[in-house]
Amino acid sequence: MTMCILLTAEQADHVCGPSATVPWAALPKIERQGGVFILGVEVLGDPAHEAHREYLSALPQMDSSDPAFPAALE
Amino acid sequence: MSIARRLAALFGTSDPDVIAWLKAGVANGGFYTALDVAMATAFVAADKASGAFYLTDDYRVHCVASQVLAMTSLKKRVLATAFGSPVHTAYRDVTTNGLSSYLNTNFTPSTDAAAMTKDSVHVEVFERTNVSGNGVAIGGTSGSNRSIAMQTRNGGNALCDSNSAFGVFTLPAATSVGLTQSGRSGPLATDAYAAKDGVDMVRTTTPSGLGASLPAHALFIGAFNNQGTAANLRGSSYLGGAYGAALSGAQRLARANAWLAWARGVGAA
Repeated sequence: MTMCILLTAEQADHVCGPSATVPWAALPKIERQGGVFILGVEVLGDPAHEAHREYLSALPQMDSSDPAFPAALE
Repeated sequence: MSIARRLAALFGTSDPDVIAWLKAGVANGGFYTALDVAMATAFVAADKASGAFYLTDDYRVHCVASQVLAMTSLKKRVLATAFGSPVHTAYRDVTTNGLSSYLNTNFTPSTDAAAMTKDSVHVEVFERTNVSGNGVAIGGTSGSNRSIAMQTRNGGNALCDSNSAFGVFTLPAATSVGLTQSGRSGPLATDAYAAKDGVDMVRTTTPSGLGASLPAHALFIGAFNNQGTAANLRGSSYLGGAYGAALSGAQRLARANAWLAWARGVGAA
């Protein structure tokens, strides 16, 4: 099980991309079914993505083992 | 004092490739320990002795103390990009979550390969966890069989693309733990090979087609770079890996023993 942050396309566009402070870190756009994008909660503790921590912390989270968790794209 | 002795006094090793890697890691903001130096020196010496070093484009070594050194490739000294915060554990591995984290090696075969060619391909990863499924441990594709990838365990098999469609190889035991290698040593689909811990596996399905040129998309670790999109994400722990030209059976075994020695030397196996 992995806790994930759920994002809309617009929210993903807002945060995804290279880290502002760590040249070898980035946030990916991982799309699931229903137009939902996900990030693991690990990003909240990663100093490379500190600039987005407050924003991401306010978004909904869901356990990947939850039956309602959006499925992978075909 | 000889140059070799001066270098050994400064860095703990006189191997120029190891020294260049250590210096690059520090320049990138990382650090190294005496254990890193000792393990890297032994590994590179073993690989140079077998000749595999000269057939390999690059290595990723995650079982070191510093996360930044782990992100710095050993031979070409290229920084990987960590997407979605895969977790580095000192002297162990990098762990991906199978949903949203992976590494981009930033090694694009079509433009970065010096040893690898369209008909001489080798990739490998050393995993520390047993995971089964269609997740890809390392790989990338540009379509039309221009694919290099490994599903290190899909049930009882490993599925391997060696600039080709996939070949199926029977795992000797139902585990992805250890070193999985695959490649192709010539222009025929029957030249495809795979090995587990240095011992060749039996091919039960031969690739149905070959790539006309190497993929133009970078290899990912913990996911499949499907023409620019991360797919088939695989949650596992990766101690290290390598990619380059095809290795002989003896070189595959020597490489497996070298990885195992590094893993055991740092307590990761």
